[in-house]
Amino acid sequence: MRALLLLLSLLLSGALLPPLAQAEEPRNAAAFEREKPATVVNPAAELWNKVRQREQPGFAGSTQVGQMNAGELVNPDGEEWRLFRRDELIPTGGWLLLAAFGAVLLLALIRPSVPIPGGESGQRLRRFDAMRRVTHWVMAISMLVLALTGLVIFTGRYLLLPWMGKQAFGTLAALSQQIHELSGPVFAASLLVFFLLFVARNLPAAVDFKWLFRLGGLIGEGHPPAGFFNAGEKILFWIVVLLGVALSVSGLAMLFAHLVQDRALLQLLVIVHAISALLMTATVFGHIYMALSVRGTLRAMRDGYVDANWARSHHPLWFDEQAERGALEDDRAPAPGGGEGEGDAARAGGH
Amino acid sequence: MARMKFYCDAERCIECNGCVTACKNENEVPWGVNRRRVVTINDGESGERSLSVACMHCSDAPCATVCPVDCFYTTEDGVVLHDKDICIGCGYCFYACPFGAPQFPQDGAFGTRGKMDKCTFCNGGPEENHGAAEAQKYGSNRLAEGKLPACAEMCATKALLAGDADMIADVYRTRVVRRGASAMQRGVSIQKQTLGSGS
Repeated sequence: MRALLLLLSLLLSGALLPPLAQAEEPRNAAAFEREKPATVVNPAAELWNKVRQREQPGFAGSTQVGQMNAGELVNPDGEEWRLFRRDELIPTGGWLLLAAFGAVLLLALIRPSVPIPGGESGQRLRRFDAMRRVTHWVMAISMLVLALTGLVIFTGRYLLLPWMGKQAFGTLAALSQQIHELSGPVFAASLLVFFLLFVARNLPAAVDFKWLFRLGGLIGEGHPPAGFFNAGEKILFWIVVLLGVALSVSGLAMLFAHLVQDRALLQLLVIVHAISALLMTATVFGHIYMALSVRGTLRAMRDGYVDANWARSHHPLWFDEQAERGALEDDRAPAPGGGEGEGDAARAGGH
Repeated sequence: MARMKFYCDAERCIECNGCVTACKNENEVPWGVNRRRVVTINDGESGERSLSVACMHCSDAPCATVCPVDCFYTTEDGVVLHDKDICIGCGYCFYACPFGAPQFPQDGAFGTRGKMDKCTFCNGGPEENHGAAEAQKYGSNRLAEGKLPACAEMCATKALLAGDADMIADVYRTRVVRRGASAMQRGVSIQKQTLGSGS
């Protein structure tokens, strides 16, 4: 902003000065040549220019106090940061979340559920082992807790405080903040494990482009081919991982602000954190809708199995591979205890 | 009603840090927290100037509008105070404050930021005046005794002025008139003498 203003003033002065100089030149060009204008510096202006960091952004004086940015007498970007957060980030973010929620609600009304094509087959396939399911749910629950507590802090002053009162909202916000700080590292750790467990199956493949080209079956007849994960799921994975990393890094930096000791960086990270969190929450709305509406999907994350017909229609390439290996099980058979065979099926399901 | 203000006279401040010490002593400020600090510009060079800075008790305080829990309030003396029972220690006031006044002791889930602490103009907090809770959370309440903040009262060169804005303005105006036209007259006159040899 400041740089823009500076640029603007430079442009203006550049545009205005030449005509003035030209107007004066013929009259006393000789005199002008003799008396070189001395650069008279007003020490008062010089001092306050330094204090306000007008000529040297980031200028800091010396001080005996060791706190963050203590040498800077004036925080040059605070007002801009505050106004951006209050007038743009919070309202836009709020509307974005409402719009995402509304869109999902509308979809749920139009298409409340997609049954398993061909109904339940009585045969099942192992899709996720216990490790993957636990990691998914730890990440999911910590993410939802973080989203809720984060929203309390982000929008609470405008949405909750007016009817809760300062004391009650203060307690709720303090509680939210504590829970947020405790679940943050849980999310970050589960994200790391999640990434390691799932990345191999989420690498892009040629078949994904065909899937995307047909928008996952919205265009054309029947389901487009897909492996263990279809392109939509892979995109979700990468969105979650990238936003999750942005959230974890910025969140940990904000949590351990005393180790960062850089106000400008922290200001930026607050914004990065908020934008990533909003996009993540909106993405998760979509994910929850898909998981709930497409019948047979949620089961993969509940007991780790999917129906054979579900796999055949949604992930035909994976199904063919599994059927060839003879991995199809009778759905009435008791679920294997102690997890034997779980890893096999899941591992074999890969690529 | 009075409108309390600080003013630091850059022509008088000698960077003795007496105000910082006075503040820490008066308010029993914890380790790692400095409600007031002295910053020196051009340290050791010509034109060296020092300024003591703390919460400036803004009329339209940015901290109060950025606070997610709205814990700030302005007293009828124009002193900006906050309620530590409501504060969640998010640090946003520090990012927004033009003067870097809010400070954070180490506390919280991972020994991170605790509840914000800042200059109270030696006016305590929302608790009962001179009560144990007020003293423990906010320190001294000199204003309620009719005294001005300890930092300004202790200032040896009377560089740091605290009090009603009109009176501060009068004192400062008198000083400026006696010194000459500009607050930085000393600097200007030096500049005039050495104009030929450049700055």
